[in-house]
Amino acid sequence: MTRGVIFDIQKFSLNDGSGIRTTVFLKGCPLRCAWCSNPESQETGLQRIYWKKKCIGCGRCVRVCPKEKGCQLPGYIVCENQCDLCIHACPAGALQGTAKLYSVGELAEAIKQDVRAYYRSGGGVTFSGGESLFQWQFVREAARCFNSMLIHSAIETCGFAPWEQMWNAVEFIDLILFDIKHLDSAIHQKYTGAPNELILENLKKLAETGKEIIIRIPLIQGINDGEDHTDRLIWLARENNIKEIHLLPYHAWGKPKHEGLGYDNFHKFERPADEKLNFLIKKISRSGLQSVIGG
Amino acid sequence: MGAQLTLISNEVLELLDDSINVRPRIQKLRKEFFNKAPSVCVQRARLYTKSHQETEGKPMILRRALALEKILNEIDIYILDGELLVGSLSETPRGASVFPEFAVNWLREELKGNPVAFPDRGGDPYAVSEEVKKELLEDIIPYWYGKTHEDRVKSLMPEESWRAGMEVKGFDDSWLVISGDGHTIPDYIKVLKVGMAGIIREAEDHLKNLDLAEPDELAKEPFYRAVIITAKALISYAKRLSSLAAEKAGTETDPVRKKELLEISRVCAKVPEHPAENFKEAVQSLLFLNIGIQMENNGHSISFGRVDQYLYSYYAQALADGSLSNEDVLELLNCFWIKLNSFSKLRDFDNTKFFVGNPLFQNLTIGGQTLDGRDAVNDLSYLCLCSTKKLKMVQPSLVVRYFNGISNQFLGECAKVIRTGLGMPAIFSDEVIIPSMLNIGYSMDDAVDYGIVGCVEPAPQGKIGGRYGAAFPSPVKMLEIALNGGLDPRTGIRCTNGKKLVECESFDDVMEQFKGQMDYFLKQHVIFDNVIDISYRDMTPNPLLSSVIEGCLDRGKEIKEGGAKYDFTGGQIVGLTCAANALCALKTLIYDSGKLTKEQFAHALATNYEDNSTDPKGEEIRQMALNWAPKFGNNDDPADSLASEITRYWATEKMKQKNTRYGKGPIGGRFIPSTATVSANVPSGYVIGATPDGRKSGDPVSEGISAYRGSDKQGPTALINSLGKIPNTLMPGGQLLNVKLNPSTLEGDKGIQNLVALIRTLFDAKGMHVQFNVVDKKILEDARSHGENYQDLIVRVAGYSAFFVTLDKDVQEDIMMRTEHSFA
Repeated sequence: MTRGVIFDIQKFSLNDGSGIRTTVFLKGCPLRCAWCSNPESQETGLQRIYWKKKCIGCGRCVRVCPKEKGCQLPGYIVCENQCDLCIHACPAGALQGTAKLYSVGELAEAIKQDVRAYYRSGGGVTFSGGESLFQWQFVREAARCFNSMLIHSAIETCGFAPWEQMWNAVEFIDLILFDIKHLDSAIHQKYTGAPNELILENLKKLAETGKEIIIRIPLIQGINDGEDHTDRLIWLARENNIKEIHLLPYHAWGKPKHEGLGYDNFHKFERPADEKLNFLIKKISRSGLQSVIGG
Repeated sequence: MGAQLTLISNEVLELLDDSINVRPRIQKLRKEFFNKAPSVCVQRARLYTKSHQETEGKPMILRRALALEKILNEIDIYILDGELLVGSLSETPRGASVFPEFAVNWLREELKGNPVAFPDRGGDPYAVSEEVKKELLEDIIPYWYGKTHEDRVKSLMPEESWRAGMEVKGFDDSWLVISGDGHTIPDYIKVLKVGMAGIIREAEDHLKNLDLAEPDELAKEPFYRAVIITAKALISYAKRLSSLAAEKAGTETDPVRKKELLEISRVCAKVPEHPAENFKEAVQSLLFLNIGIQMENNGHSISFGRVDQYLYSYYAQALADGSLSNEDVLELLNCFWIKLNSFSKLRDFDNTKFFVGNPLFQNLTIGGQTLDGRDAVNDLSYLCLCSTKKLKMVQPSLVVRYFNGISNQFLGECAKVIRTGLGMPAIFSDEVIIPSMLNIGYSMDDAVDYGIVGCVEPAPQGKIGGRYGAAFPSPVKMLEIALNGGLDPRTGIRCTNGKKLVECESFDDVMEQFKGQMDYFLKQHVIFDNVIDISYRDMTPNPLLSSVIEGCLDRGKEIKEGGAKYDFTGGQIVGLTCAANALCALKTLIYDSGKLTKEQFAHALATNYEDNSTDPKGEEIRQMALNWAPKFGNNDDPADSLASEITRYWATEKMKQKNTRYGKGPIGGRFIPSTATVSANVPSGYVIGATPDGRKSGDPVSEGISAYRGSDKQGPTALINSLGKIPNTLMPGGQLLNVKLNPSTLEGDKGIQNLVALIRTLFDAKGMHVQFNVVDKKILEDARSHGENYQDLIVRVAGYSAFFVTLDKDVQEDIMMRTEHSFA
């Protein structure tokens, strides 16, 4: 049986598809976007976030550590043994594990809790990450299960996976939130670590299946918020018969998680100004497409 | 009830729009309200005392009637510039009258500055002039020594019950030792229909038909006479205002205002004596009756019931004959609302912590369903909503009745008002309330026609004697005593003999001890509240109120003698979910996982989690309690099921208890539970030591059926799922749920749609009530340090809204610490 590696299940999510949703954050990602707000999602293995503010300095984590002198906090990232003893020893909630294994049945238990809210709001479940396609078999099984439970499902994806995997993952999904980071492959490569040809090809194939797609773009000032880039985005949407573009302005909320993971490569980007965002929204709307900030 | 419109008219919809402001008259009256500070007024106390000095020897009910007559005949009256509706609870706007017949000791001490003088209070200050102070201290208070309700209560109260309530504080009932109870919806509908003249005729008929040779009937004679005196007094009060208006009209130079004054004069000469025949007369009549009842007794929560239903025919008629436009109606509602805000109740210092923001809880109910199950919302419902939206003032407490058939349009308009941060309207679900009422004996028709009283108490209109407001039982305190083997660690008072925590071999043992304490304090609370009711019956009977409660005139009995059609005594549990969390921590950490021993946990509690010489240290144990044990509000079964068990046990046992009217006529005659905690969760926590949920000594406990502040971490849908596991139907006294939302969650049309969906989800889960605080935490922080800039900032306390700056510091803090739900 396939099991999913999940780092968070967030209830009452309002911005990942219609209505009140539960968002399932899957671990593992093929890209390394420089502005990533969920850095704990990138690796597939168990990691540990250290929340310094919550730490009461009791040292119980060190006491249980099988290493001779205990690990040194902070700065320690992934335990060699994938061991979670310290996490369980912490009474203050200062150590957070970033991975939990779920069977489809276990996930369904969590998802169905809010079924009243989904029906009342036109919501459902959204797979996010990380990159959902990284665990395409699990997503496929889970989506099929939710489909049989009459729960609407959405997936947020960067589209970077072999087509077969992508199709397998989304076949039972109702709505696809397709992330586009940049339309210039070289720039894409520079900021995410991968080119975009495969992504755009997958978008085209996906559009041909008739699945409902919304394009989402994380807007970073000076990188992909230009008028010209927006024109190309509109063109991409039209070409693929897509009706809606969501603009997700950059935010730096991932910073504490970067620090808690012991990463030292956090780079702060800038959020485009509100006037700019409104200008782009108007521009997209004028072209006959729907557009919102936040989604 | 007239033909109901199912579609809202465009004209009303336009008035709701944010771009429309209230009329200049209303802006002016509203501004004057904020400019005027609340003050202590002496006239009622003076007149009441004089009357009592003259009537010694007469039966109490007649003395009370004659005293009210004197007050209504002689208290100074006023009409403010621009007012369209008149009357007041005191000689000045925002004045608080004094009710010396209930208690004077606290008043004397606080006038002298013990513990705090009225103007120096941290929350709810009142100005007191030197003359008022002098008159109260020298002329009025001394007369009352040994003659008050408080004196009678103390003389009747068994020592053990007094200790359990006033010293141990397993429940707190101190507010009712020194003031009246209130808490009902008078039969406004009848007064609109027959006028006070109709009430008088009815009383006279009964009087005439009494067979005075029958001792039982002889006993009724003073009651009917008292009813006639008070009804006539209320009429004469209205006529005094009529004369004043005419007098002012005589010297008024502005022809428009002159006309208004003449109209006021005409209306006040007619109502409440005669039936109301148009919308303005109807609203003025309501107001007079409300004023009369609140001058008779300072019990709060004299609520209005379903005004959008019983005023609808007047409204429809005014629109049809063109006498009023929708905007005119809105203006009258605005005047009505401002008038209600200008009423004030003087509470003692300790109780300002229980009832912060000096609320009178004049609840006004809209929406719901008709007797034949149709959506009852009409244009007037929207206009009431509109009045609250535009005025942004705390009274009346506007509540909306939800049922499955309510339209998304109306709910959406409610959501838009909630989004403004007013904390109103609070929303109540027929789907749970009606069954909860049927379960305790209400007829289907009376249950379907319920209105809300006070904070969250569902009541039939004009048919219940009370009293919903009663003691605040404190299960967290009971648990603390249970864990100490029946001894209260704070006072050293022994309540019962039981097993201490260290002697409990299983969690079942713990529950047994806890239930033992619930039994003990339930009994003491019942004795305490029944003593209070006996004193109310003997010392402060209410002929005016009784005359407008169904059953009293027929039986010839005052409410407290068993006159009303229905009668229940309440009691508001404070800290229910906190107690569940505490029990859950003991179960999880000691008995299920063995992570701590009983001794370790007991020691940590006794030392307020501060002993660092133990292993684990005190703070480590506290963190385990906070983080390793499930908490109510996260859809986590172990905690939720304990909250459910406490509810089931307490409610079931409580509803077996009899009040003083049992068997004397009313349906009911029993006690019913609620979680209408007002702000009592803060002072209740003062007397409770550290608890196993990680709460430290003196910290607040939880309020209503809400999650403990900061402990619900999974969002509102998880909170709703937790709530759904509680048998809310067993809380006919009302369930109270606070949800705090970040304003960003509610932006745009999507935000409104999501809030509507969230409300429906909550009621699908069989929630009974919900109210929202939608205020950015940053604004609250700023308001705390720069109160002068936030005079009209409103927050939801618990069951009612209050102006934030008037609140005591601890309560401000508690509101700020409630979990704020916002989502990426």
